Amino acid sequence: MSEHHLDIIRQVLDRQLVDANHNHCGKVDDVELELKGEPKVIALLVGNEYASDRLPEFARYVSRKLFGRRRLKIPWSEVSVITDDIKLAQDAKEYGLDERKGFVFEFISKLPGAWKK
Amino acid sequence: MKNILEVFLGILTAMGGFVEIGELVFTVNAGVKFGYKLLWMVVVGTVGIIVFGEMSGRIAAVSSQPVFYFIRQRAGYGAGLLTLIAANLASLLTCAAEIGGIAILLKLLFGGNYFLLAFLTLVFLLLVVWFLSFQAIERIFGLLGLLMLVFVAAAFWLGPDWTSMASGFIPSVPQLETTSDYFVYAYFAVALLSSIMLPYETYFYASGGIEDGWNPSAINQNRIIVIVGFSLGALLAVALMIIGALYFAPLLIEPQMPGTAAMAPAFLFGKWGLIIALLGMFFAFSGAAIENALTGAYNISQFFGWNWGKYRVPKDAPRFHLAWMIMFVLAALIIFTGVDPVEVVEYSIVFSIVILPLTYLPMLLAGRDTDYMGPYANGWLAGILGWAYFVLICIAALAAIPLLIITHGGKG
Amino acid sequence: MTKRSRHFWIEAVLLALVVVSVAAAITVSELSPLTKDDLRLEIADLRSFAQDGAQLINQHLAGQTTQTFFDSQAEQIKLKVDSSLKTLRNSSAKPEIETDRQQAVGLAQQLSSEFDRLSTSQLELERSGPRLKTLGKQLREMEERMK
Repeated sequence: MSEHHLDIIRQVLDRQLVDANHNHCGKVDDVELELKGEPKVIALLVGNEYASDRLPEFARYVSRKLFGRRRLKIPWSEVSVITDDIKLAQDAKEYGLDERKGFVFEFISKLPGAWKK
Repeated sequence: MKNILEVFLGILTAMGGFVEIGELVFTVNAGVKFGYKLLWMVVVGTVGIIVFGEMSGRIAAVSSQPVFYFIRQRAGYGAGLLTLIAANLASLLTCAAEIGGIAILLKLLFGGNYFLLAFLTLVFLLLVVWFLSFQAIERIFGLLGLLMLVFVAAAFWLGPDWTSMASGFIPSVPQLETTSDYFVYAYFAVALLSSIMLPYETYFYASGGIEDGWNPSAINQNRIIVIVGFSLGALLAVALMIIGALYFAPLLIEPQMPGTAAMAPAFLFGKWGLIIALLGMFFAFSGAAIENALTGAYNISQFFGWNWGKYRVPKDAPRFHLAWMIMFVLAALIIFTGVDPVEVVEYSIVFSIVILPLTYLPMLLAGRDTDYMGPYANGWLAGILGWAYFVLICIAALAAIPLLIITHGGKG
Repeated sequence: MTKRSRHFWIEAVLLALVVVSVAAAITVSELSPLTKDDLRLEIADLRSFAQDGAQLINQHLAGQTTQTFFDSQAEQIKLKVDSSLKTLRNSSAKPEIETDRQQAVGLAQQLSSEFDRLSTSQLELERSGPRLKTLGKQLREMEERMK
C-alpha cells in the first residue's frame, strides 16, 4: 500500500467501515466518482440500493423487494484513516449507520444480560 | 506457562469437536461396507482440514479479518452473496441434523416425546449461547466431547489386526464385487472428505481466533493446536471405522441412528460404556450445533459489515445475536417437520462439498497475498498443499451429486 | 424492451426452468415403479433393522443397556421399519419383481409386528431375539439373490 496511490477497487470497495468508536458501520457498497476534470472520489455509498445494483437483474429485483432500497452517502471528507478498514471521523449515528436502533435492537437490548460486558 | 495451558486446552477442544453426527454415521458405515479400505481418506481429509484450518487461523491472526471479509473483497458482492447463501444453507442443514441427533440422544437417555425434546434442545442451545462466553462454550463442549474417547477405547478393545489396518492407510482402490460397489466406494470417499472438511469449521475457527484476540504472535500456537488437535480428533474417526468393520459388519448392521453406534461401547463396557457414549455424542453434537449457528451469524454479519462477536456487549451487536438465534430456530423448525436428522446431514454433507471450492479459493488467494499477510503469507508447503487440496475438492465437488444419484444415497 | 428488463426476464425464466426441472425429476422418481435395485435397497435396510433389533435384545438381556435406552431405541427402529413397509406397500413394482415386492412386504410386516410385541418379560425377549435374527437371515437371502 503506497502513500500516494489508493487502489479504489482493492482498498476501498467492499471494505469495512468503522466509526470513531470502533463500531462497524457496514461495508462500502459502492463509490461515487467525480469524472469531470481530474477523477476524484466524492463519496462512499452504503445501502441495499447501491449493493443490489451489483447483482444480476432478477437478483436485484428480489433483493430490493426483500430488503428495501436504503441509500446513504458518506462524503469522502469524512474518511479519516484507511488501513484494512475505512475509518470514519465521527460516530456511526452521525451518518445514520448505527445499527443500535429499530426493532432488532429493541428486541435484543431487552433480553436479560444484553448490557453486560 | 499460561500459554502451554492455552495450547493444551486448544488441542483438547479441537479433538473433542472433531466428530459430529454426519462424520459419525459416515465413518462407521464406511467401516461396515469397506473395512479398513477407506482409512486413507480419513488421513487425506485430516491433512486437508489442518492445511485450511491453519491458513484461516493465520489469516485471522495477522489481519484480524475473518473469512467472509475477504470473500466479499475478492469475489465481489454478487459472487460473495452467493457464497454466503450457500454456506449458511449448509450450516443450517448441519445445525438441524445436530439438533435432531441431540433430541434422539436425550430420548435414549431419558425417554419422552422426540419433538418435545427437540424443543427443549432448542431452548437449551439458545440459553447456552446467550449466557455463556465464547471461551466457556468452546471449552465446555470441546472438553466434554472428549467422552467420545470411549469409542477409541472400544476400537482398541476389539483388537484390530494392525497389519491389515496399515494397508488401509495407503490410498488405493480395492477389489470389489460389482460396478455399483465402486460407485458406492467413491461416494463414501467423497462424503468422508466432505464431513471432515466441512466449510463451517474454517469459518468458525477464524472467527473464534478473532474472538480470542489472536495477533501474529498466536500463529505458532494456532499451528500446534491445529496439527495436534485435529490429528488426535482423526483418531476418533479411525476408531469409528474400526468399530464399523469389527463390530457392526459381522452383525450385518448398517447403523443409521446414533443409538445404534452406542451399542458397540455398550457391548464392550456395559451400561457405563453406553451412557458415556451417549453423553459424549450429546456434547459433540451440541458443540457442532452451536458452531454452525454461530458460523451462520458470523458469516452474515461479516459479509454485511455489522458488529459481530460474543466479545462485544450484546446490545452493541443486535443483528449478529438475532442471526444466530434465527439459525437455531430455523434448524429446529426443520426437525419439527419430522424429517430424519441422519438424512438431513447426508444432504448437507453432499451440499457442503459442492460449495467447498467457493469457500477455499478466496482463502487460498488471501493467504498467499503478501500485501495482506506480509511476512506471514503462505510458505511453499502451505502453498503446494493448498493448491493440491483445492484441485482435489473441485474434483470431489463435481463428482458428489452424480455419485449421490447413481448410488441412491450411498446404499448401492 | 430495455436491456435491463430483457436480462431480468431471461434470468427469471432460467431460474424457473431450473426449479421446475428439479421438482419434475423428484416427482418422477417418487412416482415411478420400484426397480430391482430400489427393492434390493429397501430389503437391505430391513435386514439391517432386523439385525439391529436382534442385537439390541441380546445386549439388553446381557444387562448392557438401560430400560429407557432399550424402549427408545426399539421404538426408533420400529419407526424406520414402518417407513420402509409403507414405501414397499405403496409403490408399484416392475412386473418381474412384483412377487419379490410382495414377499418383502410380508417380511416387513412380520418385522413390524415383532417390534410391537416386544415386552419387558425376559422370556418373551429371549424368544423375540432369535425370531428377529431369522427374519434378518431371510431378508439377507433375498438381498443376495437380487444382487
